[in-house]
Amino acid sequence: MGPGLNFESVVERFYEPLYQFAFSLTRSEADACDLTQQTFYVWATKGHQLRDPTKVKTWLFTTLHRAFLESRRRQVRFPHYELEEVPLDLPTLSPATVNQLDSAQVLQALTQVDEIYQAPVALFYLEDCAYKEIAEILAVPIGTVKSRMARGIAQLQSILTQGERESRRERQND
Amino acid sequence: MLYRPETADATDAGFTEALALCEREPELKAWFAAHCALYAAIRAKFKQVAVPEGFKEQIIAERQAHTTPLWQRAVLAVGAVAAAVLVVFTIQQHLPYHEPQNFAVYRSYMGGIAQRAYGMDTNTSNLDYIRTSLSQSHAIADYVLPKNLQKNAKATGCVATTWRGREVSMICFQSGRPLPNPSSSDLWLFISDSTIAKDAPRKSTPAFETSNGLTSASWTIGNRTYILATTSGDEKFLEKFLPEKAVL
Repeated sequence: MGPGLNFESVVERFYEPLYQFAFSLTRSEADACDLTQQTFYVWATKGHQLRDPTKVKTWLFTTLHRAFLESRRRQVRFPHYELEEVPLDLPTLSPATVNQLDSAQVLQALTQVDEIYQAPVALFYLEDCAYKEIAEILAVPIGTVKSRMARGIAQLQSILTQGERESRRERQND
Repeated sequence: MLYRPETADATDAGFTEALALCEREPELKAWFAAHCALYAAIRAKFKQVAVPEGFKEQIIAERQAHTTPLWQRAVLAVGAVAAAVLVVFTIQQHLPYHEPQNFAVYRSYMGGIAQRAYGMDTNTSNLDYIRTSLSQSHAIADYVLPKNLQKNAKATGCVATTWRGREVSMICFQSGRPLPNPSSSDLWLFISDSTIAKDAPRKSTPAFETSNGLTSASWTIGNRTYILATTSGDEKFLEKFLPEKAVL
């Protein structure tokens, strides 16, 4: 392993963003810990094969995402409720509305987005990866990444807007 | 819509023309400002996900515990032969017990050990020596001690023990409250694998239990489950030794 790639420094740099990505996918602290630890275990055993130190981040996120997909394949599938087709125009969601929410509410909204869009949306908001890197992490072409992101973002913002409207109606009825 | 402010997108050639257009067109500029503000607001919520306390140290400690120097492998190869002889004895240890193997039973058993007389494997207040001692005993040594416990209690020693054939590391502390015997302990940390029982806690937020004169808090970080138990106080007393609560 080259200089700057020693295990502890890699953990120091990436444990938090990896955990946050894992948590956004699983919404479970235990599962997010498992995925993150598994990723660093794989790094410890196979990371020496990586020649280009600038690819560490992509390598780690790719490994975590693969582990997540593998774990999903083993789980019992729960019914997926189709979201109504969202209009291409974005709903009028304001930053002020989002600021009133807590992190758990936003992540809960993410669970209602079509599953195939959730990882792209999480990476869109969490990490400063270039779209090319995101395409590598998700193992899909860059065009697919962008279209999934665009649809996923639209769904997320629509869900947050709907949630805000429902809360406002409840407050008016009280 | 896919532009992310304050990221590498600012220098992405794919966005250059669109950014220039936003600067020239007032309506587009206003829309763009709103888009960036909304992106920042949602991103802030995603970034608020907090990592459990001690998780980084857990990852590093696990790797250290699993790294075996070359010279030790030869020793282990010889040891494997001796281990084969112990297989029959070990199988006997795993024969079904009449008591259920759930977390409450495990916790109660460990609490019983703490309240009875037991012999320390190592008597020391040095936490590094304690970790080394447990590691040399091939007990669980890749644990993460809560910062509050290190700060507010004084270690007295450790014991490498087992429950139903599963390794448990026991680290003993003094809480600072007066004790009948100056050399005894009133605070015990038990560390096991998180698979010690099917209903072992899954969260890093401690869960409290009081029974048989013992107050305890249990939590799990990564693949290690912790029980901190005391005879000297209640939940409020125990809180000052526990990990900081994660904030979501």
